[in-house]
Amino acid sequence: MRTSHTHVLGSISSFFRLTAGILVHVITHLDALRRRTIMSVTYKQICFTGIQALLPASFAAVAIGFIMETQMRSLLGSGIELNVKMLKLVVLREFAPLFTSFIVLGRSGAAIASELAAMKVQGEIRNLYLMGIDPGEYLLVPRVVGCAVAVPVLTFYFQAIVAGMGPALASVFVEIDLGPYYQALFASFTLQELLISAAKNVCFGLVIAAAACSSGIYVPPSRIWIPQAAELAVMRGFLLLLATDALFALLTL
Amino acid sequence: MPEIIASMDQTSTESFRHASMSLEAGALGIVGTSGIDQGRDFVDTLLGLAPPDSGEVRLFGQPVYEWPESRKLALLARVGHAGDGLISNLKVWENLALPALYHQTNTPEEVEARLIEAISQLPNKDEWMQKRLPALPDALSSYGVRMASLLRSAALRPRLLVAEFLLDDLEGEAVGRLVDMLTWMRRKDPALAVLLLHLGPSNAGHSTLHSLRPDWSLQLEAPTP
Repeated sequence: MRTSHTHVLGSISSFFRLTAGILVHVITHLDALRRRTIMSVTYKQICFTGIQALLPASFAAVAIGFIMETQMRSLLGSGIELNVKMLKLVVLREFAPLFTSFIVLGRSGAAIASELAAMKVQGEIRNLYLMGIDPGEYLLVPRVVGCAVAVPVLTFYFQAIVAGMGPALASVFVEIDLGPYYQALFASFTLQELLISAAKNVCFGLVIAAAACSSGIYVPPSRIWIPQAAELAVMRGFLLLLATDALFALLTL
Repeated sequence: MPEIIASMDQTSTESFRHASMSLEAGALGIVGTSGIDQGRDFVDTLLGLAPPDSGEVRLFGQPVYEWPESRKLALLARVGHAGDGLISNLKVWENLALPALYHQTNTPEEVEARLIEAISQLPNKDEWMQKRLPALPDALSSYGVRMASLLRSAALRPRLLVAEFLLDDLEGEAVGRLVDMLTWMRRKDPALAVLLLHLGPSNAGHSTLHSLRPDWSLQLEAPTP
């Protein structure tokens, strides 16, 4: 039993060390973005993580906005102040960033991990090295930077759809005075809140990409590990996202 | 006195013992290996990816495996690598341009011109331009992958070309086309040193080359690792 606990703790500690190592590597190699080839991979990553996720994110945002708005009305009544507070604190500040990150984790996190695992299994990381290409620069920097850019933008888009479309759709079924409601909602935001929200979403992007990269690039060189890398990336990323969110909640108490 | 491009002196690893070789600029070296893994260990040791257990390895006169990563990679920018090493998530065209563009030694226009010049040497150049270059490497045959890796080196204009099992397990016509491309690359740059890894004894690799193109004279024969 003790051996099994030691093994699990060792795996967790090793995962944290490797993930932190990837983040440090990326931060210390950001000058690699000056290379045209690396910028091109970064654009592709932003496109895949951000632009190609717009459709599922839009659908989820409309549905969540509508559901939350109707539920809040039935629970809290029609008072503008309480509904705005609830929408802002629960839905926009907590739920929207987490939900967007889960969408990105399921799409991009799994894709990054399985892609890197496949490259490792097929010996392509060695081939990059033989061409004088730093695999850390070429593979990790674009993926981590791409996610760190795409996640905040996608989350902002998600929040805008939730706040804009949710009340509008719900007003078809329940009585909502949309004009004053939107005015009260936008007046309630402060610059500090927006900055903290942006910082949190950048961190979510970094966490997703780093967890996916470490799950993919450090797998043993065997084909059976390719699907397992995707599964590991999603599970580890999910737990790390929740831990990061809890950390931000504590810091912003 | 010709420049020594790569050398090994009494080098041993887990895979091979007491290997010694010296490859001069413009020379062709053929190394026969008993297996693919052994050959890859040999290349990894020569190019500084894996340190030898004993002996001395030098690339362009430098003890490359002792160097920090960034300097080592800068040195490897002068080495072309041919074999089956295409990156699966890049289109063939992107693969061909990747090392030359990454190292930023030439403008994209120059790289493109070099690639078009190299592709125009192929008998089926139109097929390459229209069908193979826009495809992913999965769509290429084994010969196609090896030719693409040679074209990638042609775009880079390296000082040393390491060809890992480039001609093994291929039919005569495919081998002939690859040798033609190698010959063209050496004609373009007479100082290009080529290290060809071959499954089996070195003299078998040399015989294959010699029977295809009699002008390919063996200037160096490395000991079988």
